[in-house]
Amino acid sequence: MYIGDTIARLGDGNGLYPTAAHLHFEMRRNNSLTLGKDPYYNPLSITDALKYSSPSLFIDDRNRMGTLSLTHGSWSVFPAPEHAPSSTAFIEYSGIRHSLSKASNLQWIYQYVYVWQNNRWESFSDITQVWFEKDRWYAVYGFVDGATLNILFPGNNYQKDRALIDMVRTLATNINPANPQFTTIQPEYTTTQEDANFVYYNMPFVYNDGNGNKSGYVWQATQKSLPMIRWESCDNPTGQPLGWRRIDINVLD
Amino acid sequence: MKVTSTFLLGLLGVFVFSGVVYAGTAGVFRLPYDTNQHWSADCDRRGLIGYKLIADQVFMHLNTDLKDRYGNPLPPKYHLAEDWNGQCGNSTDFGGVLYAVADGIVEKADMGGSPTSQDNGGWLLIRHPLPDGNARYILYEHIASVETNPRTSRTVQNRRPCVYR
Repeated sequence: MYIGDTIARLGDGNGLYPTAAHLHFEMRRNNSLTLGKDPYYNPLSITDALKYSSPSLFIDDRNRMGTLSLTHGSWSVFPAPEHAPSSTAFIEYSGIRHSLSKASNLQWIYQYVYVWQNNRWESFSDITQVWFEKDRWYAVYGFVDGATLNILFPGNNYQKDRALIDMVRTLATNINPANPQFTTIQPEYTTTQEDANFVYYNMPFVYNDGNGNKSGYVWQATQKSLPMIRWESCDNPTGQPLGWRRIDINVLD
Repeated sequence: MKVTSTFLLGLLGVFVFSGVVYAGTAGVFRLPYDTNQHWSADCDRRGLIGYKLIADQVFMHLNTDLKDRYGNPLPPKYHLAEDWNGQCGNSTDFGGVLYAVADGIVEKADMGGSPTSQDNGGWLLIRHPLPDGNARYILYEHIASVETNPRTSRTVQNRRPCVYR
């Protein structure tokens, strides 16, 4: 099945919504969930939230693409037309697409990439760690003829969805979701504030320290000038709070 | 490695936006509908031309207006998906064409009314393998029909049959 194929017609749930036909559009990270049943939760745990992606955000991050032809035995040099992560970039060769990491392992491309900075070419030993910065020059080496480097440009819309997912990830990384003291997240109470440089998101979560339920908070800050630059911070009911820490710019959903 | 001017001039690549895609692993993604599609004459008369869907429920939305099939209120719950409705409202978008958001594989479909289906109408699940080895599963739900033939072949393209696993 190919992108753009006609696949279905929008409906009303066999009459379940007789005056409000609509598309329920859902994106899952795995295929172990119940089918034919809306994903409604309350309370909402970290574990359940992590089972899903925001479809609009996911598509927006991968909606536009730049393609560069690579040549066997040559360095292809190019300026990045927009800011973009290497994590969603891929190499296409003989109709097959692989991540930069896999393409490097398969020797479709060299693992090193050269970046023009500080008025000279500097090498990076791992192409998958590179962030493509707008107007900066890069050099990628191809080991096969006919391969293409494809870079997906994030649209930087749906920033609240990204903040929510970042904050859920922050909690999952810094607080053990299986800890019985942790109970639930409350995205409906997410607030935003901003200053000249950042938009700050703040989501409460609930935990029980043995003396009843208490609230903690998790934060995400999105840089206005380049929304892929984000920071995270959170309370930790079972340990030291997490101070502001930069989120890996290459990590999308 | 030393980079020379010859190296730079001789091996310069050019970025172009590609329109070529291949089946199997997903590359670029797009919305599941055509923003230029006309789907309702009534909508056109009201000056709302085009098949625009607007978000009725956004991701992680706490739905406080849940009701059962008989209109009885239900406790609020978080919706881990999106609901998109036609901008002309009501069911004016009924029958609108939905497209695959990326290359992928049809996993399952159910048009409802069978013992295995819930009472949410038809649904279609498509797996989109990603170049990094992960995958995402898109579920289109409450659909009126599937535009493919589930019985005869492995893949589906526009007007091609497909297979369900």
